[in-house]
Amino acid sequence: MLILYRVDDRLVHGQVAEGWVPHLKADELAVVSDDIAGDELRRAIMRFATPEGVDLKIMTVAEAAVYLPEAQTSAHRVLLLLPGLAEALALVDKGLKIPALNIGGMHYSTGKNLSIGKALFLSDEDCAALKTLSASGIAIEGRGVPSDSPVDLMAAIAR
Amino acid sequence: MINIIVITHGEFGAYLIEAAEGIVGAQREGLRNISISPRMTLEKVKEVISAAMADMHGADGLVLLIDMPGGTPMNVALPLARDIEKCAVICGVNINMVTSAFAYRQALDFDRLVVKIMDDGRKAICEVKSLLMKK
Repeated sequence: MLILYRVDDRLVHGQVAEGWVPHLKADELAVVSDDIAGDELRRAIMRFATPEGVDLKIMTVAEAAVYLPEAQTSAHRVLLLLPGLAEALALVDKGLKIPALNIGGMHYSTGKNLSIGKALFLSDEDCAALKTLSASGIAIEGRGVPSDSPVDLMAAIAR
Repeated sequence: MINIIVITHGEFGAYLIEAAEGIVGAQREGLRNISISPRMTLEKVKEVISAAMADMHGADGLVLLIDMPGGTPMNVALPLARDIEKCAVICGVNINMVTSAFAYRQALDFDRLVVKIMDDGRKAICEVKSLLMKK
């Protein structure tokens, strides 16, 4: 089953490996990124950052559209990691049902001028993407680690 | 839940805790930091560590994370820990040991947590260029 759908531009890092994995007892991380799927060094680094006893699958968006519906009904406890909202939109377009989306990390770059909490910086495009995802019935929460209080992102960007 | 006391020379432990909490989340209870200042007398150090240990010891156990083997924090804590059951004195603390302690102190029992903290701490020491990059 897919136990968490998360957007985090740092993908596999401390918050995921030491925070979410033990909290949710995840036994597989599924990373969906065309860039990383084609980058040997980044794949090696990500494997290194994955806790022992946890499987890591790195796939393109096209591969994910086939794999994730299978993962939803498998016995594995799969934590899905997306680098950005574009991947979430692409997967929804390809028919993936996402019940809830955790927005964990979207760090600052030029144009991401709306800051929410410590690790969320949103551009106008990001806000539009969140509205599209929310309108399609996906519950959106902002939360870095399990023990943080969830932030109602849709309320925060409504203003 | 297993309680934790971090004891270090100066403010090292306070900053370690701050960094680890940024990674695995704020620890609302069961955590104490003791920063040993060169201005404290040895008697004062003993008093502070002993009071913290008395306060923090519970049924699930207590883990002391200390910076240097053979330093004052260890030298003072070790005799105090001798007669306390389920109390580990672990030296060489690094950030992986702290995040590991925070992340697993509810799920694991005392003996397993102690092993996990030391394993994760040892695994953190590595030269990643030779490990991950092909020549």
